[in-house]
Amino acid sequence: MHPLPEEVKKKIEELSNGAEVDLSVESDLAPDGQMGKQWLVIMKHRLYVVSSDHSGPAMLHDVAVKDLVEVKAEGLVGNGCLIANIKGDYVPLIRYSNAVSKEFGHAARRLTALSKGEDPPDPTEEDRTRRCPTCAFPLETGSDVCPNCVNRARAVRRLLGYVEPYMGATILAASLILAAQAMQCAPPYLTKVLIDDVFGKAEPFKGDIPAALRGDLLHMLGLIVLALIGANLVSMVFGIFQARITARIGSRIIHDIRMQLYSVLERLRVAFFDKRQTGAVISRVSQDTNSLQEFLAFGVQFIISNTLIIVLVLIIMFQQNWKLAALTIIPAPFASFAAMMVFTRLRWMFRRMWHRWSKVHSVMSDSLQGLRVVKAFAQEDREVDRFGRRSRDLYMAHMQAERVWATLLPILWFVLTSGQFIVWYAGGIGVINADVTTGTLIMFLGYIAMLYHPLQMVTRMWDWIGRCLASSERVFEIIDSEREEPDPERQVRLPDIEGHVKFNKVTFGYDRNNPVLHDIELDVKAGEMIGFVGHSGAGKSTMINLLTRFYIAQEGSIEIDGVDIRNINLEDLRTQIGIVPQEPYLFSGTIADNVAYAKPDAAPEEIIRAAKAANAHDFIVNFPDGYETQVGERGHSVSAGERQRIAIARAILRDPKILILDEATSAVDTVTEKQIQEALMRLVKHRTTFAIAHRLSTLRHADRLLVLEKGRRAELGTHDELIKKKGGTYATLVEMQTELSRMVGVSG
Amino acid sequence: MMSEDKVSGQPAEEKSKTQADLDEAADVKYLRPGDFILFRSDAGGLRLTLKDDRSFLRVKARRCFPFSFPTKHISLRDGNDEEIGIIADLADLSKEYRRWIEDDLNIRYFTPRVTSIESIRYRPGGVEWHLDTDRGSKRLITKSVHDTMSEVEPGRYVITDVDGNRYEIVTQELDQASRGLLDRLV
Repeated sequence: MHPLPEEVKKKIEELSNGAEVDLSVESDLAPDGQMGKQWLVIMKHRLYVVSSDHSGPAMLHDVAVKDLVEVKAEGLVGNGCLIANIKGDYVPLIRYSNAVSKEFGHAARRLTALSKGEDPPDPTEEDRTRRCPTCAFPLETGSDVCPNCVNRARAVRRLLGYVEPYMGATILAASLILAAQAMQCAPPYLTKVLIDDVFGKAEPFKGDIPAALRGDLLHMLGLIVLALIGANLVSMVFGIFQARITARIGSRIIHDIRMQLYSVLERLRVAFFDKRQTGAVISRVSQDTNSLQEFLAFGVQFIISNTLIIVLVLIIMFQQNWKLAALTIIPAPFASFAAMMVFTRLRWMFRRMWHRWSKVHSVMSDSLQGLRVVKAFAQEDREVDRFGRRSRDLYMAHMQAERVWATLLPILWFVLTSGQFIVWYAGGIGVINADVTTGTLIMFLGYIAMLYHPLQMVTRMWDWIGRCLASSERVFEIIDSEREEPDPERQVRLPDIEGHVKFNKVTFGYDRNNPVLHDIELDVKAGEMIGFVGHSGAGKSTMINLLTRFYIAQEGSIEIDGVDIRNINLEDLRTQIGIVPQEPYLFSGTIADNVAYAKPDAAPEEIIRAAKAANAHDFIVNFPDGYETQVGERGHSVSAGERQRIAIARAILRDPKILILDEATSAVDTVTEKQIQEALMRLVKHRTTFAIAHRLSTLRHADRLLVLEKGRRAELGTHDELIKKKGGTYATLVEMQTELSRMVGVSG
Repeated sequence: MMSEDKVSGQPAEEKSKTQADLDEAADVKYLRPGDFILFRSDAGGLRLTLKDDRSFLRVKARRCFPFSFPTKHISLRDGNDEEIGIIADLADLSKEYRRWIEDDLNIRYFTPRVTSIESIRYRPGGVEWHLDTDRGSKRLITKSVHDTMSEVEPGRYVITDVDGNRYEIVTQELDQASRGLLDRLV
C-alpha cells in the first residue's frame, strides 16, 4: 500500500495526539470526483478522511469508530464509495475508482469488525489489487506473470522446451535446411562460370572455333548444366525431407500442447469459467494452438532458412567483389524501414477490419437466432437496416485496407528491389572498364534476386514472432492457472462417506466484498433430507456450489463426516455426490450412454433398473431406437421432463451417498412433476439429501427445512414447526404460494 | 382474454382484490415536487419524508436512462432498494433538492468523458490508452478493443478498463487528431 504523504501524516498526528495508524488507504479520486487523491486513515478509535490540495491537507470526515453501525464498500457504476452508517445516518465517506476497490473492501470489513469490538481481519492475497511493477497491468490472483511485459526470452525458452524431446529430428532438419540453402547458392556462381569461362571463350571466335577448344567447351557446358541440375535436385530433395521432418515435429508438438491445455482446462476451478465465455476459451484452444503450430511448423524453418540464405549470399557477394556488394546493400536499411512502416499501417487496418467483421457477425447471429421474434414483431426491415449499417462499415474498412495494400506494396517492392539498378549501373561501368566480368555482373543480379524475398520476410518476422508469443502467453496462462486440487496426494481419502454434513459459520461471496452467505450454521444427520427455501437470490444455489466444492467458503468450514471438505480427496468427494441439476445437460450419445455417464461399465440391466426407478423407462422404450436413441446436439429432441428423468436415472445409477436436487421439477407440468416426485422419493431413501425447490409442495417430504433470507439463516425446522410460526418467512412464503396457485388455477 | 372470461366466474370481490393488488404493483409512482421533503445531514446523508406518510432513513438515486436522459426519470430508492418513487424531471425541483440529488447521482455514475485521445497503443495482452477527460488525464489499460468498447449509439462509445472503470467517448466532441486515432481503431 502507498505510505501516507508527510503533510497528511503530520495533520493526522496533530489531530489524534499521535495515536497509532491501524490502516491507511489511498483513493485515486479527489472528493469532487476529479482524478486526484484522498486518504482514509483508520485508528483504533477514530477514522479520518483527508484530502490534500494546494492549501494543504483538509479534514473531510472525523468519525468515532464506536459511532459506526456498519460500513459498506458499495460498488457503483465505474467507481465505488465507502458508505458508513453513523448512528443511523448514511454517509458517503470516501469515493474511489474500481482500481482500488479491493483495498477499500478490506477497509470496510476491518472498520465493521472494529466497531463491533471484534478482531479485525488480516488482509489476504485477495484484498490487494496486485499490479505488474513495471507497467501497472493488474495481475490475476495467484499469478505473477504480467501479460503485458511477459519476459519474451522466457516465453521463447519455454516454447523451445516443447521441442526438446524432438531434438535429434530438429537438428537433422536444421542441417538439411543449411545444406539445401547452400545448394541454392550454387546456380548463380555456375552461371558466372558458364558466361565467363565457356561463352566468354567461345565468343571471340564468332563461330569459327577450333575443334579441340570446342570439344573442351562443350564438355564444360555439359558439366555445368549437370551441376545446375544436380544442385537444384539435391536442394529439392533436402527441402522435401526437411519439410516432412518439420511437419512431423510441428504437428506433434502442437498435439502435446493441445492435450496439456485441455487436460488442464478440465481440472480448472469453476470460477475460471465464470469470468470467461466458453466460446472464448474454445477459441483459445483452437486458434492459439493453431497459430503456435503455424509458427513452430513453418515459421521457425522459414526464419532459419531465410536468415541463412541472407548470410550465405552476403558472404559470397563480398567475397566475389566487395565494392559491388557494398553498393548493392545501400538501399537495404531504407527498404527495411519502409517495410516496417507499411506493415504497421496495414496491421492497424486489418485489425480494424477484423473488428468490423466481428460486428457484422454479431448482428447476423443475433437476428438469425432471434428470427422468430423478428418475424413475430415484423421487424425484418429494421434488422436488414441494422445489418446494412454494419456491412457498410465493414466495406469501408475493407476498401481502405485493400487500397493501402494495393498502393503501398508495389512501392515497397520497388524500394526493396532498387538495389539491382545500382548493380546494373555500377557493375555495368565495371564491365565497360573491364574491372568486372559480364559473368560476375549476371551472378550478382542472381544473388540480389535471392535476397529480396528473405529481406521482405525479415521485416514481417517480428510481427510473426510477436503474434506467436502472444498466443503462447495466452496458452501458458491457462496452463499455469490454478487447479482445483493442486495436490491430491495430501488429501484425506474418504472412500465411504456416511453422509453427516456440517456447516460451521460459513460465509461466502463470489466476489469477496459482496458476501451472499453469512454465518450459515447447519448440522445434518446422515440420511436426513434438508430442503433449502428462500426467494431467488437468497443463496440456495450457492449452498450447493459450496457443498460440491465448486467454490470454497472464505470464512467458516463445511465438514463431511467430521472432515473439512477442503481436505477431502476431490475424487472421493465428487464420486459420492450425485446432482440432479435444474437444467440437466445431456451429452451427445445415446440415452444409455447418458444414464451410465458416471458408471461407464454399467450392465444393460442396471441401466434399465435405474431408468425404471426414475420413471423414465416407459418413454425411453417408446422411442424408435429405445435406449440407443441419440440425444444431445443434433440428436433426438427430448422434452424438459424427459431430460430431467434421464438425469435422475443418471444419479440413481451412480448410487451417491449425498444427493443434491437443484430445482429438479421446475420446468415440467404437474403430471410429469408427480412422476418425477415419485422417482425422487425412491432416490432420496437412505441418503443425505439437499433439495431446492420453488414449489414448496415439492419439499413436503423433507425432514427439515432451512429458510434463507438474504444469505442468512432465517429459520430451520420441520414443515409443521415452521408453518405454525405466524409471520415467519416460511409461513408467509407458503401462504403466498397457495394464493398464487389459486390464481393460476383460476385463470388456467 | 381467455383468462378474464374464467375470472368472471369468481366472486366479484375476490376478483377486484387481486386485480387491485396487481394494478398497484404495476403502477409507476411519480413524485411531484410538493409530495416529499428531503433532508441532508451535515455529513452528507440523505433522508426523505413523503408528505403525510413514511420517512426513509436512506435515499439512493438511480437513472433510468443514464445515457439519454441523465436528469430525467430519476428513481429514488430506499435502503432496501425498494422504489420510493420516480422524479420525472429534476428541473421541476427546487435548486437545493436538485443539487442534493445530482450530488448523489454524480457519486454513483462515475464516467469521465473523454475530451481528447493522446495515444492508443497495442500491448501484448491489451491496449494502452492515454486520455484527457473532464475529470483529469488518465492512462488506462483495457483488454482487446472487441471486449472493451461498446457503442451505446452511433458515434458514442463507453470503454471499460481492466479494473472496471468506465469512460465515455462522444466522437463529435473530439478534436481531429483524436478522431483520427479512434477511427484507426474501430
